[in-house]
Amino acid sequence: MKKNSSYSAPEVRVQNSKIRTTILAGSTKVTGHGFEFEEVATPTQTVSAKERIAIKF
Amino acid sequence: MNIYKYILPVMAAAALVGCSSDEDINNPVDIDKPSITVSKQAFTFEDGTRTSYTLASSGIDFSWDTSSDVLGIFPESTGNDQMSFPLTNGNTSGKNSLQHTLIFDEIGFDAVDGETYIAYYPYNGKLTSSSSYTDIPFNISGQDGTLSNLSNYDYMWSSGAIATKIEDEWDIDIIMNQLCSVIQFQLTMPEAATLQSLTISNDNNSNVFTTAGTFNAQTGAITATASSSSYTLNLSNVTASENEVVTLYMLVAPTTTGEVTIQVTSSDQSVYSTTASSKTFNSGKAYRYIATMTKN
Repeated sequence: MKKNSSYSAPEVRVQNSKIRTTILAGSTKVTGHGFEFEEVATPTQTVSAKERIAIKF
Repeated sequence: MNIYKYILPVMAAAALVGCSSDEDINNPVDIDKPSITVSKQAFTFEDGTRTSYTLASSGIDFSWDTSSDVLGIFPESTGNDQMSFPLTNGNTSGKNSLQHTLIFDEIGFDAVDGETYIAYYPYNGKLTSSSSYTDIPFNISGQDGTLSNLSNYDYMWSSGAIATKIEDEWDIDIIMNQLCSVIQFQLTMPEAATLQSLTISNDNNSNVFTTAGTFNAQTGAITATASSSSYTLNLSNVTASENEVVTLYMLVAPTTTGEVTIQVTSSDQSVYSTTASSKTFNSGKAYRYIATMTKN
């Protein structure tokens, strides 16, 4: 028996990933771009039709 | 409730520690102020919704969804811990036909002067603290060929923005680049049909179409984990009348193909095809295939 014994439980810390968002004076600019047609000003692909063996899906 | 995921194992562990077999449960031992701290971020962002795209004369127009879009941002030299950066409360500025800029005044993050911040999109809440900006997962399989569907598969990277402090205020300019390119198919059908799939195949059989992998958020370089010589769009029963032009869209990872075969299959299993010459698809660019399909 270990009555009156003293036990110090270890400190357990469970933390989520270190994601943080804080407020700060300043300016952040975020620019995203779409997709520019690379060939819009020129004729599109030369595409010739021909019969092909069907691909099995 | 996510908090229980953390509390319950901790409580169970504490109970096991405190109840060894030779202790009398009716005469508990004295425990000197056990300290169990459970902390969790109040809000974490999952992937959220995605950008939206509309067709414009010079390309495919881009727009942030400022209700729920979120960037992930890694500091380059102070560890790999990512931060989430919601694109809410940003002021739209400088929008032209193909880009969309948001300016955030007095909202930012705990920047370090001179630090380079590497952003990617969309924020991936599943990345752990040991994740790196060099290995952001992506997956572009499962597209359905519609323009509106593209935004479910778009990924972006940035070369890094340097935080500068000007009169006690931070200035950070993040420019995002598209990871993939877009192909627009304008296919004239020779007869009425209900289309179920479109496949583009590289005729030399090399695996030029990457559908999953990781990308480096600073360089846009891709490491493929899934690639194939062909890619198929599963269409939602697209109907076409005779000589009607069917327009479909496909996001592809940057690649160079050989001669390709473009093939559509109808609901009655009729097959229509055409071919096109080799082509390099660059990220952030859109390409058109305009063709009249021939029934096989």
